[in-house]
Amino acid sequence: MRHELSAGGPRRLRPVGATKPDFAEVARDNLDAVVRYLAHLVGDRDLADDLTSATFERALRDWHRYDPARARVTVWLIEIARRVALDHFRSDRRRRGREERYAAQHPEAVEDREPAELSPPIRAALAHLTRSERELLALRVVLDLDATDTARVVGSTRAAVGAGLHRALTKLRREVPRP
Amino acid sequence: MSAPEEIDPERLEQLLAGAPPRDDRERAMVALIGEVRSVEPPASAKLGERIAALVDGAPAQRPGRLARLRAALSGAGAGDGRRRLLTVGAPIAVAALAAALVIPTVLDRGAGPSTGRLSAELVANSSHPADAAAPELRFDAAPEQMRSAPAAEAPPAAPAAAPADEAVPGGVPGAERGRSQQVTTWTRVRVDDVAALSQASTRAMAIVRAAGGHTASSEYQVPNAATGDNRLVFRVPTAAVDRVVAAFGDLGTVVGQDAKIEDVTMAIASGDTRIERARVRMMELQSQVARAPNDHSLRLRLTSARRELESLVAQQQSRADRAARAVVRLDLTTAAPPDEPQQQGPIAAAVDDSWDRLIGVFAWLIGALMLLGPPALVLALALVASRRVGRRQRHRLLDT
Repeated sequence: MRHELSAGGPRRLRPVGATKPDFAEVARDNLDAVVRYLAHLVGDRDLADDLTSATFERALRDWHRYDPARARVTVWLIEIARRVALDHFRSDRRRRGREERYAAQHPEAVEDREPAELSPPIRAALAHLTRSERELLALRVVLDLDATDTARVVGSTRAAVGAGLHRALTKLRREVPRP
Repeated sequence: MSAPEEIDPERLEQLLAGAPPRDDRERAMVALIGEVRSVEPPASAKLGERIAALVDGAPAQRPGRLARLRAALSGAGAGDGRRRLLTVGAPIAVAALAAALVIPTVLDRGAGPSTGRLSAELVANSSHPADAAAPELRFDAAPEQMRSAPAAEAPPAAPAAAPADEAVPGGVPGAERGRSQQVTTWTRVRVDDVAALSQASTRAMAIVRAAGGHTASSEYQVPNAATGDNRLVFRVPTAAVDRVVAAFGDLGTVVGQDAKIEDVTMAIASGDTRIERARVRMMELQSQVARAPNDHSLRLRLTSARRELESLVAQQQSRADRAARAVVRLDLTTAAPPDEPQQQGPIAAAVDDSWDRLIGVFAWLIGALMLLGPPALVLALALVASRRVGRRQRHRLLDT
């Protein structure tokens, strides 16, 4: 049976445990949150889509381990998305290192990259933030997670999350050109 | 400290929560928050289809073991509290019962707590050894049996006992005729009171003198009118040790004995050989010096050879003297024997025994903790360190 997720298709309830929802329903309800989070974190929409697929693959595989008593399902999915993104960053760093070493040995092979398309000012401003700052914005501002859940996702404290968010927004405000 | 255009962190939280802005600055921040919220559109239809296909293609999942256990314990659809108690309590009870049965059994087999009582006399005996290096003959017996101590078995390393004169009851077995042996004995005799202590001391010295020995030292202590001790050390001709030690049995109640025999026959024989060689060497040097009286180095060598010979002779003399005269220690004491253990009733005995076992279990647990504690600590520290390193690596990945 198919499910139309982003268009809000028919819902099917099939609880595995007493309070554990159906994974299809969970995926449908949290898809936007996950893709937005990843888009802010990685700064590339196409890459965010790919990582979103990887996130839900991993979540589906680990769904039997999810315990509703320990965390909300959104937080659980965001934690998985974060791990997927970090794995990507690690492999990307190794790949860049190999490419740079190759480029140093074969300078004639380096291609000129095409300039990126112009993005709205807010995107350009976001690009000047670090990944961790964008992550805090994504979690607190975009997904509207509270400080406790955000601290849990990033592995920090509420105070650190508050200070980091303040720093990120202040920096963003300075970066955004005023009319 | 924030700049004038910056908003306080607490106020920022309030604005995030939906508080109305109070000024232009806050209005600008709220507008910025709104832009951030809307900069990324929702998931595309294509992505939604991809995820839906992923979910549709997955097989039906069964909850994992841990989830099922949690569900059973929380009683979610599994019954009431009694069932939960049985699910958790039964294994714990079985484990505790098994531990209570197994641990004491293991302890009793190995170096567990002592289940018997050692007499203070035997403890006193074992605390006053003659010497631990050479083979020992040890007599441990009840006080009443020690008046005429029976001959004990000689240890395998000691020389075989040869019948010297007639067999002397209570004597030291193992001393052999025709061999040079260094003998050391120790005897502990209890006397009735301080007066008896004095008499026994005098008689002991007389016994030794009669046997051709002498008193090497005496430590006489009488701290009060009721108690006293005298520690005597005699040098007795080795051939007379048996008679002397047996005679000590008449001084009072013998409560402990110890004897050590070290055969030095070979050592003396090799010492004689060395002395002979040294003497020959010295004589050669003397004749050389006679022929060349002005040779200084020859004189020095002669002096050295003479000194070496003297040293060897002195050592041999000491060895022979030690073999000729045994060291015989005698401890006279007025100390009373420990009280006989009272017979316990079955319940008291069981309680006593259980207490010993409980102490044994605690000792075992402490031992296990000491054994496993350091590796567990190292493991825990390694885990903490690896988590910190991982966290630092993640921060480094995100702070770009």
